[in-house]
Amino acid sequence: MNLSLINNILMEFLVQLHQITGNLGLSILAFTLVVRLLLVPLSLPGMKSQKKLRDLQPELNKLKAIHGKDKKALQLAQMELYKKHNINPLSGCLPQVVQIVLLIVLYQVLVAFVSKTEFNGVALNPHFFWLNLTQPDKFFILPVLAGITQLILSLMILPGAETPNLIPDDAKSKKLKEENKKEEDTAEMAAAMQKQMLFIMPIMTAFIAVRFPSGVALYWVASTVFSIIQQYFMTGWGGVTLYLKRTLNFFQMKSFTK
Amino acid sequence: MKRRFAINFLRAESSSPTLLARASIGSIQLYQALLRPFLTVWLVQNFGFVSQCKQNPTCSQYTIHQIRKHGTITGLKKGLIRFWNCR
Repeated sequence: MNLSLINNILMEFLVQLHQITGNLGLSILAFTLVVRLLLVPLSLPGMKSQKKLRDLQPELNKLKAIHGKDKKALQLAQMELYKKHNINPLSGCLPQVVQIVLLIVLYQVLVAFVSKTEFNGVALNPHFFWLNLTQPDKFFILPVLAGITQLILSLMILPGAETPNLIPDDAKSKKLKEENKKEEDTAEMAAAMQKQMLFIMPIMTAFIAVRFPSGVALYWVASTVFSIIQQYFMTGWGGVTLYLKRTLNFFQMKSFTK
Repeated sequence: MKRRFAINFLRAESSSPTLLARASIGSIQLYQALLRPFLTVWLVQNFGFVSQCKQNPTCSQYTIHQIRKHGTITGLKKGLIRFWNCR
């Protein structure tokens, strides 16, 4: 795969968009929209089966309890359950890696594009509302928006931290028991880390976006909003309602104690 | 819990015979506990991309088991083959 070729094609596409819209900001928004719409067919099946899998989790756990020791029987039972509920098996690891690389390339093209004021002799108009898109946002509006939208998106998708109970607790020998315990510790640690990251990363994004050209921040906000809308139509608000309820309860408790 | 993980990590595989096995299992566990959650959240927040694994046990768990069973080189080879075949 020749990455520089893809880079050039995308750059040219961005310039064409700029010619049409006459503005860097609008062309970034249009670029985000087009690219993400093209990626929808790739991400949709995964999202669908993910939702179904989440709904099926209790039944899967039941199967695990029944076939705990016999791995082959468990797999067969799982496959049958998937067939019954019409779940496509998830795509494998490598297609996902390819998709991630594609997304990162897109991002890099955009960063390169935003830091320019002219491309192949075409002067770019970097002014968009109050922003100069090649400079960082002076009023910190876009960075904050980027952080908030990212937090909302991750709360929608990742349902807090669940400790996956993958390891059956029926090991006989002491050595095996010890190893299982270690694995459980690792899983617990991972879940806790994920929960922390959920809240720390948006803050980091906001801080990074303060330094970056605001065109990049605009792309972040636009693509995150797109993901939020997509996710909303697939699974609804997900974990957001849960956390909203929790915070509301928290404040109610506080007002009662006053 | 963090402390327990750290202690386990430092003791890494007192049962495994070789230094190489300890090092590789330790680094895989470090990936599972630190890098993997970071990557998951990063991909979701920046690209709206939900990474999902269809295997159970996951490749990293499988590799650890194989290293314990067959030794480092064979175990890592088996893990890599499984990772490559997952598509």
